[in-house]
Amino acid sequence: MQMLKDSYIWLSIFTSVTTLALALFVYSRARHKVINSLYAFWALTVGLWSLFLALSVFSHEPEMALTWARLLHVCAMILPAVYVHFVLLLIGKFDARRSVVYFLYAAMGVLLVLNFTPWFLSVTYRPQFGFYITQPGLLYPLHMVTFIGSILYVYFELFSSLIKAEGANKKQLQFFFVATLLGYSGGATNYLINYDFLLYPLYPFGNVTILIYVVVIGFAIVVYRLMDIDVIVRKTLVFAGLLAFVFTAFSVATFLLKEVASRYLGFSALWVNVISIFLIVLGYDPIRSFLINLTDKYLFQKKYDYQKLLKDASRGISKIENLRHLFSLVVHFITIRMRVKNAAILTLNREAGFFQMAHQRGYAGSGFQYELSDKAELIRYLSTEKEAAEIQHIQEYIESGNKKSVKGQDPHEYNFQAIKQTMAELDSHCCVPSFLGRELRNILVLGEKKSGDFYTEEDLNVLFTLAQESAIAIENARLYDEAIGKTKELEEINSQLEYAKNLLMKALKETEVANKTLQDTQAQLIHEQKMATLGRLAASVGHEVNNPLTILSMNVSRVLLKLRKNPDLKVNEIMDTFEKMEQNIGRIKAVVNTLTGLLKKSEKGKFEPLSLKLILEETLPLVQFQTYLDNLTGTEVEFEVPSNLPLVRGDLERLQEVFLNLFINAYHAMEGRQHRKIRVNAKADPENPYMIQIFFQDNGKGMTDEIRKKIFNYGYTTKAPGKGSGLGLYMCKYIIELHGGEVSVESRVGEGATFLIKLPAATADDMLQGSHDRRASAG
Amino acid sequence: MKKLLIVDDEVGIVEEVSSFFVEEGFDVKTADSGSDGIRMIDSFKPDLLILDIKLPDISGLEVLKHSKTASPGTKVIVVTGYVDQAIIDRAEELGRDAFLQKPFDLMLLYDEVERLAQAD
Repeated sequence: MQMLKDSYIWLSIFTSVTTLALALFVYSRARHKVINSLYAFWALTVGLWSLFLALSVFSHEPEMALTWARLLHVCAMILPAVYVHFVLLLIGKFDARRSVVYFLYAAMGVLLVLNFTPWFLSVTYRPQFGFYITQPGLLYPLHMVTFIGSILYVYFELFSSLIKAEGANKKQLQFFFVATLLGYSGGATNYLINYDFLLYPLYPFGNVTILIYVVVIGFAIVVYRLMDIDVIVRKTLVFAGLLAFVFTAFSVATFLLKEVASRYLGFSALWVNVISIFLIVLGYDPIRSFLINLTDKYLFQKKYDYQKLLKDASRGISKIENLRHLFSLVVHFITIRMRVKNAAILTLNREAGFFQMAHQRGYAGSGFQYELSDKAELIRYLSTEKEAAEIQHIQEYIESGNKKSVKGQDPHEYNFQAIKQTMAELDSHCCVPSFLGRELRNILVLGEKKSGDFYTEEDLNVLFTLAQESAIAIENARLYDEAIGKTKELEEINSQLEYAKNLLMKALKETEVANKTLQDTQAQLIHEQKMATLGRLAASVGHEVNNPLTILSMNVSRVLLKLRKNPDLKVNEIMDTFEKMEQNIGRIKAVVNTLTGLLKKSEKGKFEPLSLKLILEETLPLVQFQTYLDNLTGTEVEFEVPSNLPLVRGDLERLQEVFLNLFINAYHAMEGRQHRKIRVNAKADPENPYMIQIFFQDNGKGMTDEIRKKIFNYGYTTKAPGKGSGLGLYMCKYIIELHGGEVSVESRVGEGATFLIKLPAATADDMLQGSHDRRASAG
Repeated sequence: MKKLLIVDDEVGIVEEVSSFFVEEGFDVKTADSGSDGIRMIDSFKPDLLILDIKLPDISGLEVLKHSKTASPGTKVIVVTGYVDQAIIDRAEELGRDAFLQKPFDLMLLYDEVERLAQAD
């Protein structure tokens, strides 16, 4: 029975220490949170209960045993109320069930008082166990009813929540429910002994379930609120193992030394203690490493997987140079290994100022695209905190007032609601930043785990490491891609340049050919123009000479005929014929003289660029001199010649003659009028840019159509006999035509007349020629 | 008395030719433009027409064409200072009865007029 007693004690102490450690740990992780405090308090109570249980069993005196028994019942009385409170908080029903909790706390108060009355409990020594056990008193059932009732109530509440729960929450509650069932069933075995009911090994090993239970609940709470359960469990187990080792070493050493050393060697108790400590110091570190390895290997298989995963991933991603493949690999990798429903990579497009989806997997619709502005709150969070954004954390921050507490610093404020929104849009439960240097370059977007589990700290650490490694690989691949792209671009540019060069060469050749053709054409044109001019001249001369010549010839014929009919004909009888002949000979002379004069000038390049305005202005004084004689002064003369009008190509004197004639005709046409006005305006010919139109307008008496048709005829005049020669307008026409121009007239009786003169504009060649001549004459 | 119409814008020629043929006993009328000429052809119905090609308003060829349709009996002597072969050919196509290049001899014209007057 000594063994039973010892194992009972040791197990109780073990449970107590472990539970206390867990309570402390959970409390230290989030001491401001009610649920953590409550759990810590509850675990502390369980731990103390376990400790008091051990102490009561250990007691050799009934008084001591009674004291420990009462104390352990203090704990047992506190437990139901605190536990119900804790569970209701956990499942979020506290506000609705407030009265139940208050009732239980009140019941707890009453029981605590009753605990110290003689009617509640006493202790009796049980020889078969070898220690004092609790003897229930008259009021003891009150406690048991409260205790068991609370448990049943918790079962009920948990179960009803469990039915409604979904996903990770459901899993959590299932876990919690089973653990509670197990833990309390084990714990309840302690009551059986009080009623002399013992079923080995349920008793004392039933208490082990309490330990498991506490650990499991701790696990649930930290995972539920996202704490690092791996660390907790490992630390708890390693601590428990070490404690067990210390106790064992101490016990074994004590036993051995007591039995062997002191008996045969006479060692004192002091030496025994020194040797024990020595053994502990020697064994502590190797045992600790051994335990850590053991827990890692059997309990934290995942951790091993993670390291393997990281290694695999690193090896894989460092080999891939193609950016697109790399993105797909990383996404594939995290989808498969993290067992997530969907995953994606967002990568920074610096020019555009946003993060865009480089690759995705598992999203509804393969075309799912997302663009996240680099001003988004999520980006600010990831950049500043340099840690993953996990949806449970974010939710927690929202509940605690949008603040993230940082040790020793002012809490950072973020709009966590916006972050949550963004993550929801991305269908993400976890966003892991990937930095290159200090710059946030990529974001690993992970969806919900297929298992429905939450992301643990361990997950986040591994993902963070993976993200940083992939950032480097992505950058390498990006640079490689860019280099290839640049090379291709250069090749492209080169080939384009080559192409452009060829085109240019071709164009150059074509231009040369075109130039040659143009020059030839120009030469041909000039030749043709010369021929045309000649032809026109010939036609003009032919006509102008032929007519007087015909008359002349007829005159001669008639004289000859007359002489034949009458050989005695006197000269004075045919004098008028001779006068006519002289007249026509003079006409031919004038035509020929004008022609030869112009031809000479034309040959010598005397057709020069002339300012029309200048011609007009120099002509006007000559007109006024002539009209003064005819008493025709006081006529308004207006010239409207635009300054940008091209120069006229021609012979100054001859053109002055033309305008002089026009002026004189106009003056005579306006004779006897009150308001006399001559208006000359000029513009470029809209139909032919190489010609200039000159409108010469008077407001004289005008003319009939009859007259108009004949006005340019040789010898035609409307003036009184002796006043007009009929030569003026005829010569005007002749001179203008010799210049390559045209003249016509529009008029109505009483409304004045407008002569339209077209003269060729000076060409660039004329200009050069003109300036050359001026230089030559200046020299 | 044969009716003769002279269409020419050259005053000197018209004067000379007309006074000569008046003396020779022709009924002479003159016109110094194409449109005038056409009017005269319609009203005067000449037996003979001495027609210049270069006229101030419309071409003598037009007058020739009109004469041949409106007054087929009129014999037409075309006279011109032009040396343009195309015009000469065109006049022939249009059915001119004689052609004289300016400057022409008055006797030559008289001969042609007589010949055409006889042929009637």
